[in-house]
Amino acid sequence: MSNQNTNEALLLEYLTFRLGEETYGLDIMAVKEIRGYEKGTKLANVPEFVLGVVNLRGDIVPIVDLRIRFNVGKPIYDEFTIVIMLNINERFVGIVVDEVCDVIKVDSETIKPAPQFGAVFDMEYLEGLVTVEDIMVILVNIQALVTSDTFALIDKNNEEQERPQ
Amino acid sequence: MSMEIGEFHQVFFAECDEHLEDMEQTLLNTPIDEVTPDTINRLFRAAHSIKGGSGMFGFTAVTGLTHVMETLLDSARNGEIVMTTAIVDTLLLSLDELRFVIGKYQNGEAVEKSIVAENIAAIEVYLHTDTPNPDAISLFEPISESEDDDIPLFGPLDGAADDDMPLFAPIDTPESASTPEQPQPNLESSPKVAKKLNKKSQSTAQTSTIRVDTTKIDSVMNQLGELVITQSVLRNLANKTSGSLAVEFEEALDNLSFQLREMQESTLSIRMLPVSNLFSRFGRLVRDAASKANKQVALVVEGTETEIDKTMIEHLADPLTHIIRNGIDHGIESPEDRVYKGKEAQGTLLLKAFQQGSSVIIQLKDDGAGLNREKIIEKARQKGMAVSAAMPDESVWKLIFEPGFSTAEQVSDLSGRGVGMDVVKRNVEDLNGTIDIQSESEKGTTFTLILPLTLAILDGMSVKVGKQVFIIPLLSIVESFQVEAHLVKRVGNQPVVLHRDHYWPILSLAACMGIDSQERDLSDGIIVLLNASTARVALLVDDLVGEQQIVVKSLKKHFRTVPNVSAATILGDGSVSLILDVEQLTKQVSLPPEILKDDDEQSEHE
Repeated sequence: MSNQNTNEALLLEYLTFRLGEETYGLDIMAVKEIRGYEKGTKLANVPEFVLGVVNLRGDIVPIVDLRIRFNVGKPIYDEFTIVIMLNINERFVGIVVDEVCDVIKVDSETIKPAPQFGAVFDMEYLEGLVTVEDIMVILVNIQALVTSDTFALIDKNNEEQERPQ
Repeated sequence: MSMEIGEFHQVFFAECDEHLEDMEQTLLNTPIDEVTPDTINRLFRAAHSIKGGSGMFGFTAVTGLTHVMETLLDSARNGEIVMTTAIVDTLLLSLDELRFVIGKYQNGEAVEKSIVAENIAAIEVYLHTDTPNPDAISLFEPISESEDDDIPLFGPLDGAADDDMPLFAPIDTPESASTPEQPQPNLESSPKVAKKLNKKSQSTAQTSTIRVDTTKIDSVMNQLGELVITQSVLRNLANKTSGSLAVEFEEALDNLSFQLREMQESTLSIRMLPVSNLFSRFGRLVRDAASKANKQVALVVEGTETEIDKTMIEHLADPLTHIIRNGIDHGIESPEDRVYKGKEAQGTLLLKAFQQGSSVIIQLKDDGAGLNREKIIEKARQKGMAVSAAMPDESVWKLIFEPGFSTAEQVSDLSGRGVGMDVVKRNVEDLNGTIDIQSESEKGTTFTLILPLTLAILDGMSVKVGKQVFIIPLLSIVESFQVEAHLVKRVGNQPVVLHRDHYWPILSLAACMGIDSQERDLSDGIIVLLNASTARVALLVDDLVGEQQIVVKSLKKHFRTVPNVSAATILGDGSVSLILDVEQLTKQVSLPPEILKDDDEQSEHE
């Protein structure tokens, strides 16, 4: 954002999705694929927003519903429900949102500071704000959000556990 | 036995190749001013691995050289020595020498330890100098094990005091050729020079195996799993067609599934190695341990052709080593005692492997004194464990698996530190296996390890609760039966069921897994009797679906651990099914064991 010396602005691509009243954007490089929702296998003793696990070509992948997690929108599952499969450091996770909208190109120079309020996510997971065709898009650091404790998708002290083996 | 050793040697040689290559690359690719503790650690680990393996096979020359390399790297790691280009050069030369010596071992040639003396001396130069001044080196001459009187700077004559030396004179450095003191050995060994130079080309041509990353095999397994699912989709389609086409369709599909099964089996077999790979290393162990304990022990090995998953072999080495050491240390008596008891002076350890269904059984049987029941109970009392003199043998033997348990009166070099059998048990359980002990006083002790063939595939029983299907590892199922209402009682809040003269606590799978299966009568369900290490539990399910082989998939790869679930699998229709963690499940029931074995109450019902 501070590279004023470069004449060519840095173009970033974001996948936009709707959650509640707002439109959010996430780094397209974190998206593995987009697929229709299928009912996964339910897990016991996990938070409600973890819908279950599905088979993604041999990998067992958890599906989380951001609508339930952030208590926005209506958790309806029908043929239009879409799952965004994310690949975050080779860990896959599917997220369910209200609607997947578009892929936008964002000039890094036009990113404004994130709003102090209005977003369902904590400030620390927001990258900024852009306006594309009159729509305000809140850019989310999906990597930080999904690996955060609020989702508990990863074993705590995962690394310590695996080292002695 | 010798052939198995040979096989295991090949594994060691292949590993050495890798480690040497790794060290060489690390040394070559790291600029001297960029050497980090990580770099040194990496080198250290590689040297250590080679040393460990060579020690096991008695390749003393390799052990000797890697030992000083390790010492040098350790000092560098501790900051006592700063890595210099000279040290790197010396290490590289040592790598060359290691390759050469290992090549000799590989060709079955006799190798004297002194062959590496020169390299050892070259390394020890760095270990014994506090200042980099090379002139100071002569002050530190008595450094090599072969007590030479006179070590020149890069003395190739280091080992010359050795009687065998002329045959193995280290002549690969130019200095040695120009050393005037020892012209005779040089002349004599000149044909060896040619031989040695040829060695490099010879040793590379010998391997007929390739080492493949197991993740590659895993991905083949995954793709096969996908094929199986596609096949079941096709079968569903086939069921919708009719007429003669349907018959042809059906036949083609039968062929397909047959071929898929075959492919799955051959893919799995890639991961399988004969247990000879594992057993062959114990001959040496028994010999060394027996001589240390002043006992005479013969190791008899049976069933070495039995195949088991490679990862299992890696994980079985430690527990088996421990049991064998224990058997020699505590089980088999001293020759005098044995003769006094009317046994042969030499004790026998029988190590035996065989396949039983989809399990591999490994047995270790000694003809020693057997476990001492009184001693174990007494020891358990001291440790404050709940024991009674009337306990059945089976339960007494299980006590030795408790942490910190050891009946040895003296802690010996071999065993008896009390950090053993509990680890052994845990290791075996980590492999989804079980361990059993039979022991008879003065006749001996038998340890029986029951292990799955592989960790990648599991024989499972699929059970249904509500609409969800779960997999229970077949190994942990004792039996299953229909509940009869009059046999169900309550102990406090805990329902129990009477079966085969015992009360078993009932655990509802639906409750454990948060499934609202319709509030049905207990007697409509089916009880699956689970056998875990600590307890047996009657698991209540709605229905048995069937037995099947399943491919184990990690849940932790993309998610975290889930209570009561060990892993997951993909069913024929592509859906995910959870594999139950029986150990964890059974721990949810805590019932005083006396209740379960109350003979009085049981007779009332009969």
